[in-house]
Amino acid sequence: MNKPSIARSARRLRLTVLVSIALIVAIYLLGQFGPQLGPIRVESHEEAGNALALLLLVVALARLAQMLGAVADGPLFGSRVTQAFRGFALWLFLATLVDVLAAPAIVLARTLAAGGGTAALRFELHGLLMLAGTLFLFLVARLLEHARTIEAELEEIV
Amino acid sequence: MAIIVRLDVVLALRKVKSKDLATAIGITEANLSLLKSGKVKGIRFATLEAICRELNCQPGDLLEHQPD
Repeated sequence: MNKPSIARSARRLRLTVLVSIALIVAIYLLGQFGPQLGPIRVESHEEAGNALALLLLVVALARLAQMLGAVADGPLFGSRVTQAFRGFALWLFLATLVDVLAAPAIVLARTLAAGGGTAALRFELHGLLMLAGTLFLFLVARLLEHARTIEAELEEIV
Repeated sequence: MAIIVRLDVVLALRKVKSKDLATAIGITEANLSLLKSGKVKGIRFATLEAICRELNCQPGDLLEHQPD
């Protein structure tokens, strides 16, 4: 794949990400405040931390869109790209962290507020796997950013 | 910076063109130009050795320390 075709693909993907952000926000708002749209009714089953996790996911997607914009503008492996990728991975990890930990944290807080006792903290396996996956993604993204910094320094040595 | 690159002086003394030196030592003219103007962070020993060999000089002829 040559450079113009990568830039074209990055622009298309960026547009897809931006549309996805708009859809996610629209669906959430419809679930919260939206009227019934004919036969379609959007229902929201609110769980603890959902709104915050969604907000963090939107920030992550915005960073992903920035990264794709940087790829399209070039250079392909520039510092703008690696920084935005690290940002995307970090916000995605935070979104997953909130999603996984919010409910147990609230249970724990309620138990403590009630003066102690026992609390059952429930974790879903798929949530923990997602958390591990996004953590590794973040660590890889950070490694790539360090690699880019070293590469940039080496480029200035003739 | 306190290190001054004297490559342009040595090139003039040896009557060697930048383009010819760049070709001989295997770096781009753009990089050689950056080196001549002192706009690089460093120089590899391999590059330094190649320049010294081509220009028949010592590293001290190419680099000079001027305290700030």
